[in-house]
Amino acid sequence: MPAVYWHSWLVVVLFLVLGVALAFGLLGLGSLFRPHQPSAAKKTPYESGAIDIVEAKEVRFNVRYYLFALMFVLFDVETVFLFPWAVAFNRLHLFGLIEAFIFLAMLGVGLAYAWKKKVLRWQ
Amino acid sequence: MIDFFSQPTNLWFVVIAFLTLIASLGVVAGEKVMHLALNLGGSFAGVAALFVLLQSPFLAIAQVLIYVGAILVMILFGLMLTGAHATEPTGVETGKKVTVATAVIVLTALTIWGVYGSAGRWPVVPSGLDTSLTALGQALYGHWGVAFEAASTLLLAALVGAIVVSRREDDEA
Repeated sequence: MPAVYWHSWLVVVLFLVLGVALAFGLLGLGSLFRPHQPSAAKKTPYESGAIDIVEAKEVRFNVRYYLFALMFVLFDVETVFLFPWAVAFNRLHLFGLIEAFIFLAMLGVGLAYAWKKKVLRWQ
Repeated sequence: MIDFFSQPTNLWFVVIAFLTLIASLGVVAGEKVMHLALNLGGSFAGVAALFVLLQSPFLAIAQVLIYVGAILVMILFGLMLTGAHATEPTGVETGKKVTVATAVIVLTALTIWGVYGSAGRWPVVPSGLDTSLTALGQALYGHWGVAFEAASTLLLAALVGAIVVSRREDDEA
């Protein structure tokens, strides 16, 4: 593989290093200057100033989040499949276009089913 | 051995494989479920980096998009749903640990035996094969078109199945 390949991934590594360094650097810099006077009231997790009813670790999420995550996984896979199609689009001509639309239509049926079953509605 | 490390790619492989193994060990040896899930994310990311080293950037991106971006989030949501025990020790009995350890050792031995025993009998990918994303797209939408459309049916079945299973109580009510 040409050196260009590795150089382009070096940029990704650089992004990762910078991202981590930024987070730790800013927090570290802040800890040098800010006052440190913890109290019990400051440590409570809060929402709109209300006193919390349960411990943060005991909070349970609505099952709907899980359904949305599940559907996201499927449409994510669909997106990944469409990526090579987009790259090779110029060489695939009409047949590739039709194939991609059949693929999309199949998932469209799934989306319509989810819609009809009111999975997308937040009650 | 010196030869092996003179290649920068091999050096990177050792580093990334080591980090991936550490994260994977964290998944099986950790105590708290939420920490296990986060370690799993590290393991997924390590596998993505290994794909980059194997010069398969598309697989690496797919790994990040699907495994780190979607499946890990789904696992985390699942843990938050079950709630109470998410931060408590998992507490697996010793008997189960022994069973699982035995199974892992046997399976590892079988895998090593399978790989080394069949060396030379597996087809080797011809060198100089076009592995670019354009070639992949052409193969996927050309020669493997039917299999590709079958995959869409699989996705549809998964989607409908998930909805049917999770919405059952609502329909009966």
